[in-house]
Amino acid sequence: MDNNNPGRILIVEDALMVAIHMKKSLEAAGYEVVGMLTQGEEAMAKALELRPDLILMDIMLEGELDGVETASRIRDKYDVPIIFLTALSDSETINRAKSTGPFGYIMKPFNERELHTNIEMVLHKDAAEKLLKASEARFYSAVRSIDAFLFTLNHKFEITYANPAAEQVLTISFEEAMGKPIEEVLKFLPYRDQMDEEETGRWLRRLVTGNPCKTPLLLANGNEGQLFGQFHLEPTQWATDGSIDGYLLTFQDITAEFRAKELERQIERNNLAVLIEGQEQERQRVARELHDSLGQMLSGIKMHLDSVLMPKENGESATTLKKLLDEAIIETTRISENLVPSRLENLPLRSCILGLCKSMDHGYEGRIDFSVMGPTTELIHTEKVNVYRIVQEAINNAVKYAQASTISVQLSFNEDILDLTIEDDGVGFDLDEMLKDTTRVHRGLQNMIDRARIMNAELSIESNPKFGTLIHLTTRLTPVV
Amino acid sequence: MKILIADDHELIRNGIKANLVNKEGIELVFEADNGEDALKGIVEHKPDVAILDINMPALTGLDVLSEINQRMLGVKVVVLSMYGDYQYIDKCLELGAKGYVAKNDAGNELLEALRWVQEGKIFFSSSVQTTVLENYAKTSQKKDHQHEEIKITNREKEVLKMVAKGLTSAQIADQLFVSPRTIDTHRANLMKKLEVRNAVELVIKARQLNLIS
Repeated sequence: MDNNNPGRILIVEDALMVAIHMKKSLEAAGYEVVGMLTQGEEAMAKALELRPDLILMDIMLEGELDGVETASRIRDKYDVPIIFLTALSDSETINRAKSTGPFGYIMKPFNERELHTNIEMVLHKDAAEKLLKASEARFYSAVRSIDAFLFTLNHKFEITYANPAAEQVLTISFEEAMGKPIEEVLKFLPYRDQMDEEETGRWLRRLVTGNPCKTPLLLANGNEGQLFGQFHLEPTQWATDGSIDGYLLTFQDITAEFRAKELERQIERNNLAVLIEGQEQERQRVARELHDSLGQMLSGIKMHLDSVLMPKENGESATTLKKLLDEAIIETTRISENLVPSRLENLPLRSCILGLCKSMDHGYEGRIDFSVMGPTTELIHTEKVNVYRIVQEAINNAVKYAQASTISVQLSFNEDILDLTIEDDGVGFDLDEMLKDTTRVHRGLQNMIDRARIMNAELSIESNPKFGTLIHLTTRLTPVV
Repeated sequence: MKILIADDHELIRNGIKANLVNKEGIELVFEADNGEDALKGIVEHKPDVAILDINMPALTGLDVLSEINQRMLGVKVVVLSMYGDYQYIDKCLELGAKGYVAKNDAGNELLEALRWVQEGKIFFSSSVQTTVLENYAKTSQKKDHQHEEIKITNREKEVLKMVAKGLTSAQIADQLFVSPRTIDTHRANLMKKLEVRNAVELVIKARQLNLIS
């Protein structure tokens, strides 16, 4: 059908006079009449061969098939609009005709104008519907072929459609999933220690607030274990009144990407751990040498001296010698303790930190409070050292730079989770500025950050002039074997 | 008195011996350079008093102490240590040591320590005494002016006030420029400290204790 040819029409009519009359009338109006037939069987064959744009079909036909039956069989094969012509107006015939989805009826007798208007309308409607169908088909083939998972949901978040990719992640059949709330069908798991069930359950709400969910969510997949998806939820306004009537939920499987990143982070963490633990070991070696070799040697010398030198007999020089030895011993111990406190090797974390707070308290005008909550769990050595060093850095910063008057160190044990907070009421600092700085303070902060990272802990450093600094570390402890 | 010496430094062992030789009634029954041997020596030779160093290979002095405790070996222990920290002293006493002598004081005071301990008394060498007393003074002082044992930090006070006003963690976080997670930790710590289970009880208890003015 083009502009010059408004339509190719097939006439199926057993009254030849009527058929001829119609043909003339239609041709006069510019239509092309591709055939005139009187029988249903013939009409079927011709229709399929000639593919007219429209069929005018008399209900009463010669032969075995009547018009309604013929129309139904043709439309099974191809989509063509059919207008029934009938002199019958009994309801049974009309109902039968209706079931074939006709585009129109024309009651005999009819006039030319009625015929033309009907044909014009039907052809127009058919063209519009075919366009819509084509666009729908294009849309669905696009939806089907994308590898993102796509669900359409109604306003109650019940599934109304899932594309083939999405069907793969369903743990139940597509038919079962239809009409079910999406959260019942897609099971989400917390994928990080820090994410609890409740937080995971809130995923949809987070999506609805309009922010596409940037963090990946872990999806429990019945068939293939687990996968990580990046989600996006878009409200749909398909209702005629423009209100939000549902949602389009898409997500991409980013498992491979996510795992790769995780591995990368793990490697980075390991490298950092090797570096920091190497430093720690070296310090420990030096501290031990000092303490065990030099310190013990000095102590031994002093004991021997005690047994041979009697102050009475040797007078002042014996006293001076002992005093010097004492000082040497104290100094050696001090240097060694500064490198690695011996408590770290022998005592539980709480004692180590208590000792640290007390030793830092010396010569400091403010107050350092330390409290422990919950039943304490012992830490593996490397974690103990890391937590200790973080506390040490934090107190150091608070004492030396923040001019704090009160420092509170709190350890809170909750099964295998350790929360550490160090707060001070000092002047605070701008963390970003601080990290750009490459002086000592910065190194201290960076050291805390690095240590938290190798423990896979969450560390937050929050500082402002009004409230001072708050350092918060949360970590899942490695069980001590 | 039968004694055992355990120290991984020969120099120290010799020093101890030099100080104790020819002293009346002292008999050295065993010498060990590590904790494991020390424990064996204690079991085999049943000394009256064992002098233990803390840092030793195989088993540390602390390990040996807790073994003695668990197996009820009955030997009295004098810890001879380079460490003067209160935490060490405390730990050793907790594990049943009867004496604590700083290596620095050993020359003059070890013999005295052995005698006291054998009589069933507790002995601290002079520098250890100072540490213990200082610590005692500090803790009792604190108890004096801090009748309520519950220590609430400044931030926790702020958080408490806002919880009492009915603010959510997110709202509090906003006002204090910290993350909601941190506020949750504060709240959890507060609930532990005040021994309550929920926000309502928290506020009630805080009012009772006059923590919110």
